[in-house]
Amino acid sequence: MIDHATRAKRFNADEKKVNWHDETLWFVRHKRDLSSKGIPEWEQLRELAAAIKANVLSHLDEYLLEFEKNAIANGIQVHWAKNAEEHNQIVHQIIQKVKGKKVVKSKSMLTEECHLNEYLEERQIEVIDTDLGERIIQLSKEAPSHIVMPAIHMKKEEVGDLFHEKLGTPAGLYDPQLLTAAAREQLRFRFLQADVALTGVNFAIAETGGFVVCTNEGNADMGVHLAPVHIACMGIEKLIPKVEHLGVFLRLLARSATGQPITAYSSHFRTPRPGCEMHIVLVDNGRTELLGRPDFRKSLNCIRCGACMNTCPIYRRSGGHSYDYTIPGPIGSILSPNIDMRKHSSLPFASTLCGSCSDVCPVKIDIHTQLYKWRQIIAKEGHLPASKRWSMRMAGWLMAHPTLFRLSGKVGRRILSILPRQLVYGRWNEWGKAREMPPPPAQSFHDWYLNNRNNGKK
Amino acid sequence: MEKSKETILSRIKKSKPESTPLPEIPDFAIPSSDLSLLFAQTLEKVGGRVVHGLSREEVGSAIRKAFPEARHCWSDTPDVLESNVSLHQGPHQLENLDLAVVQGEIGVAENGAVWVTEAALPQRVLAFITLDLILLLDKNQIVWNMHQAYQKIGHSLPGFGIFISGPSKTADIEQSLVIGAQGPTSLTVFLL
Amino acid sequence: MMKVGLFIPCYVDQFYPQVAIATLKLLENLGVTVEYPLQQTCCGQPMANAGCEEDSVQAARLFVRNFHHFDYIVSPSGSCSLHVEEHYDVLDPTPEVQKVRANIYELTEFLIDILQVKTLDAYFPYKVGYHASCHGLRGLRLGHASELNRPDFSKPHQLLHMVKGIELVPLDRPDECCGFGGTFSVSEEAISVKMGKDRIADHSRHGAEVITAADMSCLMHLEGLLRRQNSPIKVMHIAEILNATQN
Repeated sequence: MIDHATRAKRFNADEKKVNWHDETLWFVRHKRDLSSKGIPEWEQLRELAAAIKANVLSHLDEYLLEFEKNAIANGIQVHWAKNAEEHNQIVHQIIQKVKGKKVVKSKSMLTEECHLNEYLEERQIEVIDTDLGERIIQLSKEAPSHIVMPAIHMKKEEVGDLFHEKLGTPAGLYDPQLLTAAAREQLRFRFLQADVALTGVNFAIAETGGFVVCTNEGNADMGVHLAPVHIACMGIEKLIPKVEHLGVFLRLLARSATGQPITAYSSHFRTPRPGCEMHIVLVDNGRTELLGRPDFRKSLNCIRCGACMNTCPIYRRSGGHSYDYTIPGPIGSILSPNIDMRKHSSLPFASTLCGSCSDVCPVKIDIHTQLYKWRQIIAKEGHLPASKRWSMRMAGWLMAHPTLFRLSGKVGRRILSILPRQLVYGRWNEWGKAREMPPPPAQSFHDWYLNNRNNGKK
Repeated sequence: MEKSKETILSRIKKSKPESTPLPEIPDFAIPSSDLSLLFAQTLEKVGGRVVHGLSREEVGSAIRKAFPEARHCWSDTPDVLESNVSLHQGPHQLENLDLAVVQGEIGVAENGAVWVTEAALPQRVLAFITLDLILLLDKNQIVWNMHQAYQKIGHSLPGFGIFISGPSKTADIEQSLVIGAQGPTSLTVFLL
Repeated sequence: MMKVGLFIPCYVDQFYPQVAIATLKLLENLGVTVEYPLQQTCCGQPMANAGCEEDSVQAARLFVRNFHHFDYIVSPSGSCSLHVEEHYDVLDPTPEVQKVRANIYELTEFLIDILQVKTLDAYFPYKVGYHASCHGLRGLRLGHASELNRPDFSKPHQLLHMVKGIELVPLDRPDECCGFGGTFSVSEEAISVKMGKDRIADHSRHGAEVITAADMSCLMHLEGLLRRQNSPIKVMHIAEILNATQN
């Protein structure tokens, strides 16, 4: 099994690209700072958002029923899916029923999580991702490396070459403006051809039975207002009680994500167009299990803004693919062990616990605390590398025995000072690959203290 | 999948935390300066254009002057601009729409967004499929923040409503901003 | 008179005795009587952060035995202080445990909040870059992190501004992590090293001659990189600077 560190190391082979990735995302974080600092009540909004989400989780069943009742009254068809498999089946059945062949999809992390595209494609349904970033990675057959900027790992030259191969743009065309125009032209055609339009959901409102979808490109709207069928897929945690709560979340979302004051389009859907169909698929897929873990349920607050990725010094230098999970970065590292602890056991350790993610999070998820707690569970469940497990056991034992601790310290420092350099910096020494060991002093503080204070008492 | 619904609901009942109250959203401070000016500043920062100080008649000639090439135009305010496209054959007929003039209801100064509902969009796709979008907005309908906007909108949302803040945009290639991704390549708001 | 116990992190005791000495002398010069319990080892953080909280329990118990009778426990490490405060819930909440968790202070926090230091007799005529170690900053809130919409505030900076002759250099990223992270520094070696290199470049770009911090672990990592690079930039714990005099 390949762990985060190995994939991160691979990403680091190209330092220039790492620097670019780091600086680009840091700039997004910087824009987020400027934007959030323009709102005097920012910290209060974060508190409000967290409190609303806490209330939602504590009444989730009631809000879901209220939402369903109102949605049905609005003419929306509501479906429930326990897991990804059911979600995919439901979506497929809806498409089959209207004899749909061509589907356009705007960005939805949930459908990524359920691997819907593959499922539909295997059943001879064409799915076109219409968010430019998603379209790029769909063409390059990759997973998104960021939830807001799915193709942030690619340079414009790579996109240009890809478009040349797949869309027939001129070779050597690398100008983002022109590449975007080429994609626009092709997608226009797809929008007009589509039988079904799929979207995610940013917020669903219990009291109205409607939902909100946010985009910058307008691609969700282009899809759903042309196609006769709109399917919106949402995790059950996307619910909010009332319309007034949108005010809080829409003020936080885009500012946290990109530093924009709001996305270009915040579309509020409540009823289908006359003569058309609108479906909502409510998906669990592990969310109720997470709800049942008191230390971790707050991660269901997440509104998928991506701010924790942009601020994370590890994410910025290891790239989204190093996480090998639909949602990368700090939030992905606390969501993924709930899905498959063994597979994702290295992710909670892909952090220095610096806490920047928790401070940047608009809904106040205690991400770094949850990382710490997942580590404990992963170790207990036996998913730590044996070498680490044993060295910690030894260290714990040594630290419980002061005399032995001092003795081994003294011996260790002595050995370190007389060993030849090539032995100290052998292949086993991960620390020493790029770093010097601290120079060992002749005496520890303990020794100094005995000689200089403590009146010579030992 | 009726069974799944029961399963999900019963799992939630078993797992959910103790009830916590919904917070009150307080009235936040509002800047004392001219909101239409702040609105214009914000909208321009996100790539939109704001024109104010014109009468309704003048708006019409300003539009024609700004978009001389526009052949297929839609407007529900004939006094501003005459429509020459039909909506009866469905949204796909709007494929070549050059210009749409749409009445906005509320402006939000903090983010330059305009609230538009389907009352002004007899085909919802109008505001997205058009090459250039023009919104008309009564400058007395501008509020400072989103909380005030939702207070004005109230609890009953329309079948479709949208906050539009600037033209369609993307930065998905190397984070370099491109205006006119899948939707309109420009947005002009006339404050009346 | 208040009883103050000095906690010296295990690796500082072994590798950086000068930091412990500076901490002790600084406190003594401010009129505090300090006792150093001789049977101390480690707070338990290295094991706990690696996911092995149960292996940290014995060290934590020993810590409580050594320090529960003090009014204040002072340590030149934000990270260890935070660990005691936040993660000693691995121990039964006896009065001793609760007392220790409530009375642990990081050095700069103790100087500002408890001693209410307003002036220092320190002199350090160098260009200094301050590295805001994460656990002190975002855990103990020694200052306001740049993510938050709060006015500028930092206890370590307040103290550094009392030092005569010092020139604090600004940084492009004032509170980005250095990449040490305990076992992270070896299990994620590539990223850890890259983070450290990037931090150093920021300090170096702004002309820092010395990088300082309230946590020696970050500095040990940066020093390792600096020495490998043969860089003239030195690292010093903040206690060493606050305790530096003209002579």
